[in-house]
Amino acid sequence: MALTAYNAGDTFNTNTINQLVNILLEPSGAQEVGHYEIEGPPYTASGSFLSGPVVTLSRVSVPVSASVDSSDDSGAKLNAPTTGHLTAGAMQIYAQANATGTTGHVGGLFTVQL
Amino acid sequence: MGLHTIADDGSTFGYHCHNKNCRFHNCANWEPWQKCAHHDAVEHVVVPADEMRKRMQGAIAPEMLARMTDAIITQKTTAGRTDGETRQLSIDDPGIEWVDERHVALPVCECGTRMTLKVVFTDEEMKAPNIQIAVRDPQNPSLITRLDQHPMVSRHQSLATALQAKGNVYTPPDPAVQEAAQREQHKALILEVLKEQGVVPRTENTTS
Repeated sequence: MALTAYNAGDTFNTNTINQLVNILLEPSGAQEVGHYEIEGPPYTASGSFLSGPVVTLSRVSVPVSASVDSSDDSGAKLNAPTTGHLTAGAMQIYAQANATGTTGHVGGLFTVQL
Repeated sequence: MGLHTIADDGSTFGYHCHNKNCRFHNCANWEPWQKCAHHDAVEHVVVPADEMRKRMQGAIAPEMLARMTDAIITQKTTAGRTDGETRQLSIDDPGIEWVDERHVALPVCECGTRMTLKVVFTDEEMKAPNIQIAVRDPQNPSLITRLDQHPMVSRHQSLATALQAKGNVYTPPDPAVQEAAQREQHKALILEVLKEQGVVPRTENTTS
């Protein structure tokens, strides 16, 4: 989200304040993008999950959808990541284990649609 | 983005992928209320002095208006948006799964991205400022003329209804099954540790 910086002497109007309001209270159609990484020991190859919370910037708006990829870390011992529990201020990213080991990991980009 | 289209009978639906490099990413020609975090940007534009004077007419003193020169302003741009295809899916696709009682994950896209949709909204969520949209009078923005609903809500609710009609419903995990699986996992771990330490466990048919 690109913001316009204001300087002393600039005209101060509604758009100035709404830049910030629209982060804490994202309007319909807004998006939030960020990076995540989950890591941990999968102790069984089937049925165990690694999971991590993602705190979104918008405090009160409710996501209608969210996506995750594994563009930063293609992962080891885990299936493709999924999101769940989309709610105001946070969501969950998790991945199911497909092998045992001391370190399973995956990471990438998440996009939250509000 | 969320569901872009859903057939009247709920048999098929289409959506656009969030991944900016995916062929199913489509943010061009969107409605003005939709933003693309990947492609929308801020740019600097030179506005000639004459144009700036017209814009500022009445807002600043005449002597300042006369001194005005070409100005560089910062504005948001959607010029970088891309056009893409719509990913069409059947309601019977085995990759569609409930991740919890209120969310459905779509099959992993060919680019590796997976989208989850909120398909059940609580009463509180229905009142969130991005879900219940206050439409204001353009002539007097302090007046709210009506309350609209986020367009994705009804599409996502339709998907939930279509899935449920097909028998694809959320099944909460069975605590007894989970407990049994956990016992098996603990047993396997203990056996693994014993094996590492050279302790050979007795088999069931071993007699002492």
